[in-house]
Amino acid sequence: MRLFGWLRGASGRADSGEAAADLAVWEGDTPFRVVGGRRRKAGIPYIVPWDIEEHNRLDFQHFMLRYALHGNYATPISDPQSILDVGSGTGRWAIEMANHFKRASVVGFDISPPPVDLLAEQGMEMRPRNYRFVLGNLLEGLPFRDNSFDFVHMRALVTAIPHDRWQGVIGDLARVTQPGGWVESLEVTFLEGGGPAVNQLMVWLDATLALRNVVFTDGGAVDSVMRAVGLTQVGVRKMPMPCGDSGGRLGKMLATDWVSVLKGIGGMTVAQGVATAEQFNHAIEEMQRELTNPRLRCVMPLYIAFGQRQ
Amino acid sequence: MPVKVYEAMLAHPASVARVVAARPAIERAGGSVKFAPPTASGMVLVTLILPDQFIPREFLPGLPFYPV
Repeated sequence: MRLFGWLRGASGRADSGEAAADLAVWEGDTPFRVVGGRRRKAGIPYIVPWDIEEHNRLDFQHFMLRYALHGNYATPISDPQSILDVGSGTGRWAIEMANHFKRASVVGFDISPPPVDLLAEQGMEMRPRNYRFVLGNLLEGLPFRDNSFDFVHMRALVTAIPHDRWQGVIGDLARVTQPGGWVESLEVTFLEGGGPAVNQLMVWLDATLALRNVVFTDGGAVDSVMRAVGLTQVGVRKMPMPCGDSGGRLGKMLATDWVSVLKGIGGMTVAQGVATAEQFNHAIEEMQRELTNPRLRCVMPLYIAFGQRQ
Repeated sequence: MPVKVYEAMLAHPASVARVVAARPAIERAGGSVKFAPPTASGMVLVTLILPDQFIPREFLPGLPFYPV
């Protein structure tokens, strides 16, 4: 059976359901699964790792997006009083928003605390006073009352939300938004215009995500979901971000980001039998070569959708 | 018997209570349930081991269980 094939491959000792169930690795009181040498949060569909390498990538991605978008948001907000960042990751966006909107109360929400909160527990307090973190599982529902925030933001969670959960998730974002407040989503979809290796890796990414009922193209349809849950003034900006040397500084940054993401999920792709390690590693090498081709016009469609609660 | 392993990191006590209530039915079907100790923040990692022909939503619709 495929599942146990990869569990055996990952650990070398899982030969029954009971053994497989015991494979969670605990760090402090947080459970992880280690696949392909990278640790991943246990108990959620998200297949991207959660380790220092990934924290660095997320921060790099944050600065890249801020550079590309000339700011941290697209929604027409002016003076928000209460901001929620859903899937706050390393907390970088939430903390920058707290520093920018000093009168606002900013909440980061995720299934595990960001590094900055863990540092604070060790006496290294670097968080703004108007920022706090709340722990929870988005797929169980947000632990906030109706109408709690006037700006709710969610970014790059497409690999964490199964296809059949999008309407519930966006509906929950709308529920905790005050009338007159805004919801913003920034998501990405597959690289387009790449060479054979890029295209092969996109096929494998799609297959790996499909095993958790995650559909990568859902990221490009969030505006439709916003309308379906009753948000109004819905807008969407589609930006084809260049990926590769032909895209200049931004293209090189995005290529670096994508290679890091794909390496991160490679263990899962191999463990689930979608590709062999040799095939995957070869494709990554070829992808890096392709993306240095000055004639390649590879892009990543970026979708920023926003809608207002009535 | 071929089985599959699923897990969910649950934050709401009500979700955990639903799993506890469903446990007898899961066990009658040949499956089992494991609860990890709660984290300091109260989250609980729940592992379901189900015979191949079942999926979690047959016992626990709406709870976020996914294959490990």
